[in-house]
Amino acid sequence: MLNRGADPATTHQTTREPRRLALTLPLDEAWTTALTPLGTHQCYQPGQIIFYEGHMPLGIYLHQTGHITLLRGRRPVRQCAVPCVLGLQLLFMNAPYPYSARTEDTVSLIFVPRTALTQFRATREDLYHAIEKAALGA
Amino acid sequence: MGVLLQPCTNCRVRPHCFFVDLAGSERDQFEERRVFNRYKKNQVVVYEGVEPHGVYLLCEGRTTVFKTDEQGHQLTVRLGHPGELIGYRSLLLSKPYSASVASIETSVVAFLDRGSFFDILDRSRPTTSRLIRNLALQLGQAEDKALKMAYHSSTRRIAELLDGVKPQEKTNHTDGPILLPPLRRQDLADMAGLALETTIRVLKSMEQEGVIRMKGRLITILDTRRLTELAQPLH
Repeated sequence: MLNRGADPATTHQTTREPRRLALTLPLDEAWTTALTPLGTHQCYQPGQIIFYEGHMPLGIYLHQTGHITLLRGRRPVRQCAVPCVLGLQLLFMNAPYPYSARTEDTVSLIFVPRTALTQFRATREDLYHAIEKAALGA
Repeated sequence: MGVLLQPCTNCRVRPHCFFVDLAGSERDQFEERRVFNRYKKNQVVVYEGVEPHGVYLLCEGRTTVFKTDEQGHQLTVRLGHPGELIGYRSLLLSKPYSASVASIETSVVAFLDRGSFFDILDRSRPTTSRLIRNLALQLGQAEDKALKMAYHSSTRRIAELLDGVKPQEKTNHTDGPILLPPLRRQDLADMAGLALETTIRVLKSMEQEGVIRMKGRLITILDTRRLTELAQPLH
């Protein structure tokens, strides 16, 4: 089940072991079709940071076009394959991003917020569980 | 960056918080759906030109709101204070962010997605009223700024800027309040709508008059009464 955000009164949000979690997963076409209406299309310019290392996920990103480099500190670690989904497993695990994501050129993606995924469960439980299984099994 | 925060009920900036009017189930919904993150100095919260996907509430720290031209020159529009909501005008208009927002010191920011924000506005009339008040206030400030640009002297514009700094940005020092965070002369010039050279000249003139003292980026206000007189001259 999708975890809610960490309770700021009691929880230090970086208690998980982020290095072991997968940041990206291949993007399934059925997921794209189902999740796109729930999200916001966003376009980032080269050199912009989509999210920062250590931050809690606000949702997931369906990466559609352009190049994204993952950074640990300022050191590039790898590039994301296109298409992919960023942050899905971390969102389910309620864990922070292990890397920052920097755009190398114009990047197009769809942001799906955490709450939209929760609501998605009510309407498409089968697909939600498939996504959850893929995320947690990654 | 990990965040360890007190609940909203214990928050020291609560009186200034945009969501202060939330109560009962609306507050529960807000507290369940927000996501906190800590931004280091100079990290960007939102980028100008990117489509909005929610709003950000500045809980701790300071931000700068700036615009960038085609050549990459940055123009500081204003500073953001704890309790302020970031990005709601773009969200309401469904248009890309009109300016970028970056932290100028370590800042804690809560994110609330688009759907949750509109849900809260639908359910909490006081919050909607606050939003309308904020928009009206911003409209008034924009009109005032147009007037200042047209008619106020450079000295008055700088004095207004220094005098109008919110209390959180001043800290009491033995000689008088110091403006915090320290701002570059260029930032002051941008916010006053003046050339850098003019801003430096005015600041030096104020220093010679004993109104302020400058040490690097730090500005100490030595004579608050005189500063107010310069900002609001008698007609």
